[in-house]
Amino acid sequence: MALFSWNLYFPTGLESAILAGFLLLGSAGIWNLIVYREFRTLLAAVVHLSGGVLALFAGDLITLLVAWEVLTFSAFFLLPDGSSRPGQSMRLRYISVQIVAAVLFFVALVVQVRLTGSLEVAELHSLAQPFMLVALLIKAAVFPFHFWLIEAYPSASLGVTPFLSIFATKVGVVTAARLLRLSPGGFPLVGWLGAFSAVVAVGLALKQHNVRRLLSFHIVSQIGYMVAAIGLARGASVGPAVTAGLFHLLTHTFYKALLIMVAAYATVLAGGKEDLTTMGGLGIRRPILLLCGVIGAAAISGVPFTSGYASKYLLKGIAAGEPGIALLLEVASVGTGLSFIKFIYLIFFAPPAPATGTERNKGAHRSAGVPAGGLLPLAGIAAATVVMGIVPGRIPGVPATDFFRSEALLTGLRPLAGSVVLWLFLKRRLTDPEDGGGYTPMVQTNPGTPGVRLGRFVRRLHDQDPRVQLFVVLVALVGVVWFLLGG
Amino acid sequence: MNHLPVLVIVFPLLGGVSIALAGVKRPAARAVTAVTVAALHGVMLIMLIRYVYLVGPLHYYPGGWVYPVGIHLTVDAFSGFFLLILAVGHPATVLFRLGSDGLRGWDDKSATLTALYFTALTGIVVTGDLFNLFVFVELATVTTLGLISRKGRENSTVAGFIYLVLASVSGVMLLLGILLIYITTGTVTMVLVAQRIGSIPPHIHAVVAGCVLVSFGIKFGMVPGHLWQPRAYLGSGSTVAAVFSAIGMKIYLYALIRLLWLPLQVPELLPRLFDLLLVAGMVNILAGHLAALAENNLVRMLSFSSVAHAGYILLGIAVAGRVTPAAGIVAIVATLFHMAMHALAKSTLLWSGRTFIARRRSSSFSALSGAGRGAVGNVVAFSLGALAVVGIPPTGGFASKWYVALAQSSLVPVLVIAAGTVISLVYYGRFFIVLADRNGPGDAAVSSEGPARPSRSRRMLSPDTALILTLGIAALAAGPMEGVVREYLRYVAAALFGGGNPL
Repeated sequence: MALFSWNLYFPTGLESAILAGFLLLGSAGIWNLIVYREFRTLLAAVVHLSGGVLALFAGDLITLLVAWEVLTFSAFFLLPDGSSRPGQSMRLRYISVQIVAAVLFFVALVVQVRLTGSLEVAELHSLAQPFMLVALLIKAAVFPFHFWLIEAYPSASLGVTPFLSIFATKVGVVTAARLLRLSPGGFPLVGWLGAFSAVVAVGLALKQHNVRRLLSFHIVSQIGYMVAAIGLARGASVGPAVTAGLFHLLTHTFYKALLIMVAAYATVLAGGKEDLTTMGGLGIRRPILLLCGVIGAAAISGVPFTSGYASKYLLKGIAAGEPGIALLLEVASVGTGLSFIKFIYLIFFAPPAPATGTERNKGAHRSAGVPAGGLLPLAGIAAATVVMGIVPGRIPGVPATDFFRSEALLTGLRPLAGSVVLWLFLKRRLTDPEDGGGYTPMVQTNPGTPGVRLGRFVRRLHDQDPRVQLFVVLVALVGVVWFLLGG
Repeated sequence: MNHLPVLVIVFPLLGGVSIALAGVKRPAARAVTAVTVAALHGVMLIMLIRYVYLVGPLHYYPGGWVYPVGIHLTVDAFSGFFLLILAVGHPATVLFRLGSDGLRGWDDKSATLTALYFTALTGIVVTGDLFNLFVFVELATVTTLGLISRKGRENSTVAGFIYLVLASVSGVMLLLGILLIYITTGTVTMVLVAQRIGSIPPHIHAVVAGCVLVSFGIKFGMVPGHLWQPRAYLGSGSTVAAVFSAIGMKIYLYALIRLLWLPLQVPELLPRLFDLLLVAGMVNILAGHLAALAENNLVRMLSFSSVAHAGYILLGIAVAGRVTPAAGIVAIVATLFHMAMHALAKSTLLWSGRTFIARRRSSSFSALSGAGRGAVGNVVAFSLGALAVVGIPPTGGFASKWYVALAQSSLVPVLVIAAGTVISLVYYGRFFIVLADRNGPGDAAVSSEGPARPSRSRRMLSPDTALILTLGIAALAAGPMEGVVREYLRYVAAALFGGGNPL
């Protein structure tokens, strides 16, 4: 059995739609990079894109692992190249976390091959599942392993964040859909983890005023939906649960890229300000941006006739079997709607805070720096989002059920009604610049700090004088001989 | 009669002397002689390996005196693999020195000592009796000592002294082990020892095995016998440190494997030694990686990384001793694969690091900040070496680590290997960031403190850069080509288990 057999297979069904999505969004993202003049990252971006595509084509587990690594190391060059110390340690932390996921994948593969002798892409042996579970939770940034995403995505440059958001976590979810079937004693553990992540991340997102950090928390939350669906899958590799999860992945990848691009564009217009409470008042002066923002927000909130509605409709059908998970996802939907009412309101409609008036003028001045063509990828993705929402049944692999029955529309609108009601009550609190906005990074220390301390102790041993070293070696000799003589 | 087994020892020995003589009048002649000696030594070794591959194991009795009276030299497929490492390593070392120091920049001792060091290593591989093994190990010790302390700086003198102390312990242990064997079996010829070892008292056998293990453990760096290494690598400079780490370490590991299997029959007589090796391997991996993580000096960091990789190799050996010969061959294949990958990757790392160190005249991270600018070839080679040594697919380092992990019979070593991968990624990544730092001091600011190292070539691709790029690409390509590599290694490993030539 060759280790690197490079088995490839052409994705079918929903995976082919995801492949098309990766290619379209990848192209839009690269266009976006050019618009933002991020020429240094173009090579890394193309490699990153090919890593995502390779993951979909991977016909054996080693190829899949290679795709993971390609994504990780190209992302290293997409992240800001560390002219500041925090930037450097953030980059290092990013690949360290990713490599933890990769070595857990490695361990799962070793277990898998020892027990089954096969490197086929299929449900893993039950003893390999726990390692794969943790690897995937990290890769897909499921709570509480979401910290790397929250840290990395907002600190990338404006043009790069949309591109980053497309691939890494989604490949984690696709891998989960193919390999992960873990329900110890019939308990849908993965489903609960996903649903829990969806709710917690929304709760944390509501406290954010930094626009890209808010969106990053919503990535975590939306991934939670997908993981919840995939966690409810049983047995067969592509059941309705996996279909729902992957369909949500597809729609989410589009509208989240759209939302981040809107946010980045609005940030440029606001003169580089990323705090939502100071961005305000773009309003009708930017109609195309407004339209794109509303479409994205509507899609993530699950408004009918947008893509998010269709995928959430399938998700709800799956979660109906587990009332607890269904409830958690419903709560998360309410929070998502609330969060994006805030998003749209603060960027476009809020009266600009007086203190920031000069800032905004400066922004208007700088907005001349946004070249023509900057809105093109946004418009394209927004159009795709609407089309997917209107004819979801035409997407390969999506069951052609009737998505727009009246009771379905009603259940779809229910959480939105909740969001609107809550918004009326909580508007002041959610938009108060003084409240919320606080963010404490989960991992503040260097990745190796405990290791460094231990290492320093180890190192001190090597600076001892020869007598001590001689003594240590002689003790070791005595120990070895004592052990060999029978202990 | 094929005289190659003795020629591969005698030729570089005389070559080392002639390098010293040639350099008396003209420094350039020293370099020319050294390159010639290394190239011819490499060719002889390849011819020897080819002979063994085509014809089979080779026995050589100098003067026609057959053992137990005379000296016995022997080469089989297993030792052939290590001769291959030497056949690549010796010319590569000399070529790298030629590329980095130019034709005239050689100091007066390194070339001779290097040739003698490779003589000793070759001797360790081809010897068929324990007494000669001891002689060559001591020759290697003396030349190592010379290579460590040749620069005469304070830190290299101290490093040399510490090495001397620990190497003396190592030498005494080996001598004690050989004496005990001689007293109990009446012979030092490995083949005869193997026949008689079963009848000696078990506790004597255990003491012998312990002495051998500790003796070579000090040489290749089994914790805590590695204590001399960081200082020695730093003192000897990165060119020579690469020779110690990439080549010397492998030959000492060869000696350990050879002694444990052939004369001492440890897999049958004392299997618990392999339990010890399993623990020692894990300790090596964790201690080496953690110490490297705490390190702020490139050469010391790489030396600790070598300690960790000795651990991976020990894990492979540990498994091979505890399982059936068929499974043992698989484990030894993984072990040898990892040895080859580490040799390629670590020489790439240390030699590409040498360029940065020479630019800044220091190997501490603070001095090397931003040292990668303008040295694209070296940065690429360093990256390839780091990817391979961390074990990122699809490099050969990943493949070798994969097979070592796959050979393990329990989960704990696999988890240790996984943890080691993460830690090593962190410290290599950190150094990579240091290397690419744009805020670092410029070369001019640093090199004003002293004269810059001799003429770095202005050309884009100097010969030394080409060499390390080749090594780095080989480390990368060994991954996708692992099928071919393992095919050869299966033939090598079968010889250790007494299997005939399967080809």
